Amino acid sequence: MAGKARWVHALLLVTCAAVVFPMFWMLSTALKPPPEIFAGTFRLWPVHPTLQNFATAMTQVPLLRLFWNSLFVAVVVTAAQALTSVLAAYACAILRVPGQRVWFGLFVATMMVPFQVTMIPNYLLVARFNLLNSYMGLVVPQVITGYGIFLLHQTYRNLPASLVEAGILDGASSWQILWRIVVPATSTALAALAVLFFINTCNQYLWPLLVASDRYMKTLPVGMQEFVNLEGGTNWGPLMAAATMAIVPALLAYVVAQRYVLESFVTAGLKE
Amino acid sequence: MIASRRRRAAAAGYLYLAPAAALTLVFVYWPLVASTALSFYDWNLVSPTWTAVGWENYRELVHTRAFWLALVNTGRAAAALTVLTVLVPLLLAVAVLRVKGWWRNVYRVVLFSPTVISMAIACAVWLWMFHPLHGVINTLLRYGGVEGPRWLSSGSSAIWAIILVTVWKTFGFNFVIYIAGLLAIPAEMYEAARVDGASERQVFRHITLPLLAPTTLFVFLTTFILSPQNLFVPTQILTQGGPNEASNNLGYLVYQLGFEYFRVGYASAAATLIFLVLLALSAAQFYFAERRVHYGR
Repeated sequence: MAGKARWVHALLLVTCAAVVFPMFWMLSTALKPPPEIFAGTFRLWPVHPTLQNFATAMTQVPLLRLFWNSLFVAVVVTAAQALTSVLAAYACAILRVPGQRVWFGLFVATMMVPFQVTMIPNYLLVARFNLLNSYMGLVVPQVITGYGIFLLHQTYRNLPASLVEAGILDGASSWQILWRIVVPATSTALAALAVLFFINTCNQYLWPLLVASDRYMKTLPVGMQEFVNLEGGTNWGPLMAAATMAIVPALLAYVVAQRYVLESFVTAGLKE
Repeated sequence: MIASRRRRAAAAGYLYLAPAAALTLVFVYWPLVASTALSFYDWNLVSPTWTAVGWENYRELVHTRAFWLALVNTGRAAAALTVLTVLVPLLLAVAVLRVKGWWRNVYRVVLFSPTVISMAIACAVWLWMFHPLHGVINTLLRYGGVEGPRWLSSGSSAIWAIILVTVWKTFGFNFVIYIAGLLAIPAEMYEAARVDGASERQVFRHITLPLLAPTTLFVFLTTFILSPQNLFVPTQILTQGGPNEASNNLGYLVYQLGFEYFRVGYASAAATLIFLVLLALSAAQFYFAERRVHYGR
């Protein structure tokens, strides 16, 4: 039995090492001076660690601005997604609205439509209203979320009916019932969903790639790619330094809040 | 009196629905219609003139090598991704639950970590690791006396590089879902089976797997539906569909046709076809998976 446990540990340790290696290699490359990057020998850790690549990265690409764009867009999109999902799920699951089942079906069906299928008309629409390279254009089309509505709908459905009835008996309006009874009673699910929305929006690539061509309006994942294929080849050192600066805060936040983040993915994934 | 109150309640209900409904109609359903309409035109994104061309875009598409390659590649990649990102997480979840205490959480946190970072940034890192001359993969291979291929610009390996990166980045979600699914199986089930003298393998086959069937269905469907979208970023950053379309896929093809060749109508025809193919596939998959789960119990 003990021998078996050792095998399980060995297998998992090797897998973990393989999974983490790309991130480790990113950091290690970022700290290497150019001669070590292109030495052609394998060295886990730089002999002469330097922050030179980080300095280059900061001057070649407006990294702080990219950070800000990503953060701002993610916060606004998350808040808007949470709000619209709460309202729509409430209307579909608790209120009695004619046609609510049809609408719910239409919301959920959006999950089956890959973004590539709708991206051209979306782009044309945003361009028509002169919203290319604007926060408005970056944010608004990203707000739709069939997933959020679906998840909250299931959660609201499982609320005891007596809770809402008590509110009605007290003479509360539907608006008051939503914010004083339904939302507080399901705050865990909503928080989990918000974590998911936030991570997802931060990591969004295709839509920002289409909408923001101005280097000051790009989000972090898009703007960073400027280092790839600069004239005279990709600037690997600064690219890895920029990637490190983008990924390390996310990883640290994840490790600190790991219990919470993992639970969010599970709650949201199992939608019950 | 009652009727008017009911009408007012219904009107209020629509106000709650309105934001999500408006967004969904404007940014999903109208584009679906518009994309279909655009597919019957020839337009280059800037010219003021549009030419109606009937079915010409579709005809050209089905006579193009790039389209069929992309279709086959998407199918292959979706199959490989679905198998790998269902099997690997299941095995890892079973292994991690064998471990007790502090280590279990360490493994869980580490294995999930690629899931929280940006795919585009992760791809930049993999681009560096795959570099034919200075990349770490070929450097290590050279120590073993092997000259590694140009991973991203060789027709046979490019698509596998994309699949590898996608699996690395996305398996964590299914992994935590499987852990939750495994933990939800009541311990008495295992005990009863062991009392009956079932071997470990028998327990896994006859208790664990059937009781995990709903979880597997969920994991299977989400993985499959999301795979064309998950392929886009690695394709765009690692290979741009190359070499010679060898690693192209339908989602990337639409982007290429629309935003690199500026053939909007032609790209829309491809988008419409993809939508129909995916719709048929998910319907079929859902139908079969549904039957399996119900009859399997």
